[in-house]
Amino acid sequence: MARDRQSQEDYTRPVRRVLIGAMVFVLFCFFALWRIDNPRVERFRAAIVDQVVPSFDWALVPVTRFTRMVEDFQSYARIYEQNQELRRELQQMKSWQEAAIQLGQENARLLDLNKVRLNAQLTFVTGVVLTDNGSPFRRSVLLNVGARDGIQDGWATMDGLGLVGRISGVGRQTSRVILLTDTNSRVPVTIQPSGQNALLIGDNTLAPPVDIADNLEDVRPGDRVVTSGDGKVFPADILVGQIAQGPGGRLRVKLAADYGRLEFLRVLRTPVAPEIASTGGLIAADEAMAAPALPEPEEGSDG
Amino acid sequence: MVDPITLRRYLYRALFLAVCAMLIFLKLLPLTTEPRSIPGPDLLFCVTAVWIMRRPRWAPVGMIVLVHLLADILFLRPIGLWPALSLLGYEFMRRKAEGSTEISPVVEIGIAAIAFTAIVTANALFLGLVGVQHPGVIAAILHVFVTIIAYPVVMAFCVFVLRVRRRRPSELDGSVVA
Repeated sequence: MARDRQSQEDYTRPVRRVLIGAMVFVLFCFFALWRIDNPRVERFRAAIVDQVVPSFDWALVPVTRFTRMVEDFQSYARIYEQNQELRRELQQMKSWQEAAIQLGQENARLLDLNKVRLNAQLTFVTGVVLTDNGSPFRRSVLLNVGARDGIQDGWATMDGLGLVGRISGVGRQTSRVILLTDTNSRVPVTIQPSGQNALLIGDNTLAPPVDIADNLEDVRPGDRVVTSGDGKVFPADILVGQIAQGPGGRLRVKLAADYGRLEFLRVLRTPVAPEIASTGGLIAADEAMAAPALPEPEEGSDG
Repeated sequence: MVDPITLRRYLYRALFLAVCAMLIFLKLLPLTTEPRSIPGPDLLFCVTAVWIMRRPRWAPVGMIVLVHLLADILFLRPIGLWPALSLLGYEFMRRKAEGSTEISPVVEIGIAAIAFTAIVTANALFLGLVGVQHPGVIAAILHVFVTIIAYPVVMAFCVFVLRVRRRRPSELDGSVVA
């Protein structure tokens, strides 16, 4: 019988070769058909998938679930459910994070545009707060930027949100910032939308009071307070905070800057405004050519 | 009364079909829906190669073609090309392994690797020839590597668990087989 099979093998070899050749040919024909009449074959494929896959359906769901559980190294259904829930939540959080990042970028763009609109020359140097000063009566911080970085006395300092103070004292590598809450701080501000001019007076509290020059009735709690630019201490229109009514009816400013966490501060490079010194030699051209000297920044209303 | 050899042959043919069906089924499972950077091994190829290099009679051509066509259809691959090329590859492997009672595993893995690389290359060439989009060279190379790495595992499984083994010299001689 074995001998028989052996001879059978010898006999079948060419047959097998022909068979395989035919098979390969047919398969190539299939491929050609698929390539040429793709939609029809794809319909055929869809029909077969339709037939085959649902017949696995009873097994697909439990096996998938079980394998996923094994993959997660979770043997308890409860933990597995929790895990799934957490993953869903994480996904939602990711979408929110994405939205937040996009909003942040948009905001940054708008702020950038805002800055351009305010003053094209307004750039800033960011410094890290090195130390607070320990005295309970002086409110100032030390930044790690100084004359080396081109910092000058009198420049305005903000955190990301609002005005923090002004530079007062510049070393080579450090500079001191007198905060708005310092008792020596006086800043001319404008209250919007009424446009009242006022003076922000530091009094060692987180909400310094404002001294309003004109009409007290026009000012309401919630109004925005921005720097006015008067006296050329600060550039105009930097956000300071919001009006709030303190105990005793005195109007105070709720500062926009986060004084609880002063970590990075921006020192605004305030361009020195050219001052018109001469009365103008309209006729005598020689005098008009003389360039006006750039003035030193004034000490302004700072106490 | 059915001849025990024939019975065993049919049993192993059924086993081959079952293993292939199981592999296709496992591949269809929606375990990971996110795209993976490393393509999985072609286990269907591994199993068929192990079978064909040990007991070609337990894996008839018709069954191989059927299984591969079904896989083509279900995996949304171009229909017909992969079965045709792999059939040629299996035939090459069968010739290499034919008649020998003992091939060292290293040689066997080498044969399978050569065949699979050739199949993948030919597949890519044909797809490029008729202008079908191909997953890419790097993915194809990774696929080949992963499959070659997986081959010894599949081989061990088939040999030691499913007991698909080469004919012993005594069987070749034609003495009575258990």
